[in-house]
Amino acid sequence: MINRSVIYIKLLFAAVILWQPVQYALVPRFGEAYPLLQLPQFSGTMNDADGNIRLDTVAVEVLFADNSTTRFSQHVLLSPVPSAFHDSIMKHMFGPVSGRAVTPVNGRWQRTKAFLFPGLLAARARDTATEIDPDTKAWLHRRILELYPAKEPAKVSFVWQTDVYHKTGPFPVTHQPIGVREVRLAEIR
Amino acid sequence: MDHFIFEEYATGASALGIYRILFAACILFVYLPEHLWISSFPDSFFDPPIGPTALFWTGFPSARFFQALNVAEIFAALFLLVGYRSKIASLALGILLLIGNSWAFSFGKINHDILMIAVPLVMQFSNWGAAYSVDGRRAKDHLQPCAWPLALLALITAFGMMSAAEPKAVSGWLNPHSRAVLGHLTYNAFVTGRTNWIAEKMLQIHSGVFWKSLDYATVLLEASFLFLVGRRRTFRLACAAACLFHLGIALSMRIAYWPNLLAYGAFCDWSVIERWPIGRYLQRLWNFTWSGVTPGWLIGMSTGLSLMYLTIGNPLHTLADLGPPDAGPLDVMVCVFAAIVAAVSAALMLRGAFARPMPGGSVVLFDGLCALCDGWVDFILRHDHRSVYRFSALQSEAGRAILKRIDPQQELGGGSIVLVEDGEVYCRSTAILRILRGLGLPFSPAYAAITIPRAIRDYFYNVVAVHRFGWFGERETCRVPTPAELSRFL
Repeated sequence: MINRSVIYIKLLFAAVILWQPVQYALVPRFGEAYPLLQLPQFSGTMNDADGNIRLDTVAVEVLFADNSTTRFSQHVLLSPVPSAFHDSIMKHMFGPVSGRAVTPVNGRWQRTKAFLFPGLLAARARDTATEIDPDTKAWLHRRILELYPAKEPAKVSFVWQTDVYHKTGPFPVTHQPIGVREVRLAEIR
Repeated sequence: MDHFIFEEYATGASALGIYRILFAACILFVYLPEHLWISSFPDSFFDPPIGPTALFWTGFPSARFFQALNVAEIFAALFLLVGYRSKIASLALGILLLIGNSWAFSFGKINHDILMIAVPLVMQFSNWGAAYSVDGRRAKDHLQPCAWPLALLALITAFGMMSAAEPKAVSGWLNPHSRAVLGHLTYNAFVTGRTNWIAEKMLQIHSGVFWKSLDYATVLLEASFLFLVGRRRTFRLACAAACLFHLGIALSMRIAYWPNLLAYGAFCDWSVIERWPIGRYLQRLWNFTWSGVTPGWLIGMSTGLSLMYLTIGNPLHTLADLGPPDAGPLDVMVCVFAAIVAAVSAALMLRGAFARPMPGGSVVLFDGLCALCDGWVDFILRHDHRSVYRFSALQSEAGRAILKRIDPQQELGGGSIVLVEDGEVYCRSTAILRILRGLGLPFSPAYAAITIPRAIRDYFYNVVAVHRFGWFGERETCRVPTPAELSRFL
């Protein structure tokens, strides 16, 4: 092995080591990037101050044109997708409007990010919109028809709530409503 | 540092070759086809992280893109499997997996399987295509495996694990009143729907000590990688423990981190298989199967596999889906396999580590004027029932002769216990621990302290050594063995 190769290899090791503090400094400031040397965090304990476990959940309620209704979980709606993505997709696409943090694009970094990463800007615009995108409505309509081929969906409601699992007993659950996101599909027909 | 980079992780071509086959087989038969579901979503679902997909695109590519990506991945994985143009295949596979995952993680969630991508990108430099490969047979000069890529992968894995431990440590996992594992298990069971028999049973446990122990053990295990990366042997033990940890997660939460397991596998000594009868049979079978492989044959097979995957899907995926819903899919089976390998590997390592030396084959050199050393010799004589050790004072003629032979530069320094075992020289804390190992039970478990970095162990040893005369006294003359001990002294 020639000396120059040895130096390059050592520089590679040094780069990996020196990158770590940089990563720890940048991720909290700018958000997680991909690719990045980051493994699953599972940060947070999901415990509240009293030691109870609080989890946000969503149920999908469908009102059909014949006035019948059905209710199912997000996993049924997103069954073709790996389950790891279900929660994030539901929050991003069908999360309750009241729970959304709308930050205007006015900071220097926000403007730079929007310029450098147009995909982020597009996602952010959708994330803060109060109206569901027509393409999303069309996808939802198509998906409900796949699940219930003989019925025409008129409205889909995403019912968000916080389930509290009390630490004292074998999980007696109390529910605290967060909000409902309604999507009218009647005009899709 | 040079030793760590270029020597510590040195391994044989066979071990790397077998690992390459297992890695490529996992990607080819367990992972692929992947990402075909992405194109069924409209661009309104596009929510990328900072990265390549956010840089150039505002929506998802077409279905044809993901089909082509899968075909390319199948080609790269099959070429890597048989070891044909291994370096190019490794590089291609790493980049293709990265591209595919970049799109999959553009739904607002990153799945953190970077180690799976790091493996082919780093290991391409290790000559992991030197054995059990077409490359190995074609090479005019015998390809030599490189150690530094394995050391780099170990470092990357260790930092990756620390990136998982640190957020836990600062977000309440170490708080004595929180139950973090319980929280995440509840989330998985009731929100993600990944419930099963084990999760239900575990959720009936109300012991705070149990749940808190799991919290601490998780953070400790993840952080330990960075502290153990300096030595391959200890790092392998951490990997083995992590395999069992991941199996526990797979069974309780149905989250299978087999991309991590693929990275841990790099540090396993797979060449052990060659020494088993079935291993020799598999070796002959492998060489026979791939002896006549040609590029045209490989392209044909890759094309056939691509057509099958893109039309009827991966048959193994279909078989896994046919099982009972809580039996665990294919990736959980990978976790089970990894845990079995880890358990066997750890057992073999521990058996080797605690193997006792042959009687009479080891010599302990000690300071004959030191009362503490004298007491130590008495202790060994009392408990060395197999007469493993013989002794010589450093001041004796025999001791000086041995010391001159093994330490001509006088680097061992004074005040040090020296052990000469199987031609190797050990001193200070390492010598003490190896002697305890040689005494057998109940002393041999103390050898586990060898995992503590030598600098730390020797620091405490040196503190005692410097003060040994003051604390324990000094003899005026060297120890004279009794007639019964005479045969044990040189």
